[in-house]
Amino acid sequence: MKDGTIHVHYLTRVEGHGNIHVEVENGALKAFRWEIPEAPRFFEAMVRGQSYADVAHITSRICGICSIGHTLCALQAVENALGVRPSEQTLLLRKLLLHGETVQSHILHAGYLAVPDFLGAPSVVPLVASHREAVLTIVRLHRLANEWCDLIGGRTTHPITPVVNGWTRLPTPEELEGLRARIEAGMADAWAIVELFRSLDIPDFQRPTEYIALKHPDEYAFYEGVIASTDGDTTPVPDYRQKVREFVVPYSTSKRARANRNSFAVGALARFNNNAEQLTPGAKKAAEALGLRPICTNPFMNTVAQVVEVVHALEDSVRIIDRLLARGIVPEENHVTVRAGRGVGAVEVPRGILFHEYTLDETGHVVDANLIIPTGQNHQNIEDDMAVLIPQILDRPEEEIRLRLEMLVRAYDPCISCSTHFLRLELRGGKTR
Amino acid sequence: MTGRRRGSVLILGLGNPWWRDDGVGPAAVALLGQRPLPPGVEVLDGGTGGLGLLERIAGREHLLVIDAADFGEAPGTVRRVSLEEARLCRSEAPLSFHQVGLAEVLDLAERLGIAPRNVYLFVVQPARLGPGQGLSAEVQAGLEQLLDFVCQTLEELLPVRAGVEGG
Repeated sequence: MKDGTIHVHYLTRVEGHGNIHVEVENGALKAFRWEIPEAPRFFEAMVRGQSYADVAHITSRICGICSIGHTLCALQAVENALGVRPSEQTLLLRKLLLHGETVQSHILHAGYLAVPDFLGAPSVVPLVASHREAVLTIVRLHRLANEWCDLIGGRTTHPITPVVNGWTRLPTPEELEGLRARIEAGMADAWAIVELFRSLDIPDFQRPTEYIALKHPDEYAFYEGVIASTDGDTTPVPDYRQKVREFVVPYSTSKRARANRNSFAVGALARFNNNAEQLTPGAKKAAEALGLRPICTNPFMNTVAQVVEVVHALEDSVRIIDRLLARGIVPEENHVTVRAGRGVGAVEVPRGILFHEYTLDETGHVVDANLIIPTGQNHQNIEDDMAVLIPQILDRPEEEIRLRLEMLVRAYDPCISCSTHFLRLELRGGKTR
Repeated sequence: MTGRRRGSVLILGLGNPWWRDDGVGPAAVALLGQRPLPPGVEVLDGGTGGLGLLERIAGREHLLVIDAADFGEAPGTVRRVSLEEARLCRSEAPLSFHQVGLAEVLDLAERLGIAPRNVYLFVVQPARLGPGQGLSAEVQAGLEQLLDFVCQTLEELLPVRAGVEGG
């Protein structure tokens, strides 16, 4: 491509609206942008004046894909503000529910949205002819994950059973045994997805960056930990603003963030790069089979890391269920004493580390809120990837450049607004003025 | 797994309750959930749908979809149409706000051999679409008729065998 403008207006197969804009002149990159044209959501203002008990239900509506993550992060922040530490049973069930969402979301992205890129198909539909069994496997895993979230959370999305310091309904031991059996049966399907990804040609592109994720001494962190960076530093969650510094750019309605460098990445690859040694044995085997080794600096491998995490979430959930069954499911009091305070929650949701912070008054009503979502933290990293990737592929045809850039953005599994309005793709060619 | 067997009939309400009359599907399934329904009938708020619906409709005997649709009649008008009649619009159609439309999900299910045997659509002509909560008076007025249509259809589909659970 010598001259012209590539403008991908409303990139498809991502959650929400985003545009890629590239201008080329005399064979050289002149300008590029990763734009977010979405209207701001104002959730931080919406929760002000609301009761501590309602915050999780309201913020769960930020996203239809990671509503469980938002719920748990909000509950954690509120509990920290109130000085409450939930029981081991509550924490185990929350971790089990979060694993369900991780499988749900990763399968949706890796299976339905990303695989077509690697197989050169415009969507999953044409793959039915060539990869029927693989698509059916994806459907089965998705069903398992949906029913899993339904059982523990009371609903497939926007869970209703998790509340501050406990649950409104606990699963029975029989239900947990049934779930355990289904998860064990689902392992074969997860391995079929690993095999599918082994056969795919993942673009080779490297750009070292900072990877940030939660880190926990005893487990591959999803639900709790400290903020860890592959640059070697750690930050306690309450001090998150010192580590993750937000900023804005004029052409995007989404905030961005940076830490040690110009940008950083969060998500499955960031978790893997920080915590790979803590994966379950099966997930370690999957990573090895897929050629994923820390520290991996290829953003296209984020989807591969998601597949590894699916294996991890299934295996770890069996361990959690065994622990729950060994303890016995016991009804617990979830009373809390309301007080004024500030609390921060941090949870690894499918797309990366999520922060919720609330300040409550003495009646338990929110006076201030701050939320930082994973995709916002990835925007600058995506643009910095483009800065390195575009010059490497500028000699290729326009269509190929466009597809590669779309794949790059999709690899981050961005959840741009979580409001899934319809998407269109538009390419405007022609000379740059 | 959940102790509940997957119903042979799925009633799926589609739409976004924050987009005024587009929320008629979720509103209808909320009301249906309060009515006594034959065993084997499952009611689901499918939200704005997308590919996530594929596994939810897979392997059902009958699928009943409730949604807002523009078919050029007076607001609040309710129609029961077969899939063929509906000639569902693809995702670029003005009424489909969602990344992957119902037509594509059904198409995919068909190709995979896991599509429901019968699909019925219950569509309501919206009066107002746009940001905001609550249904218009016209659509609200059509809701009763819509629910009656759905219940009649259930009686037709599960006549004598009502009470026998499928799966």
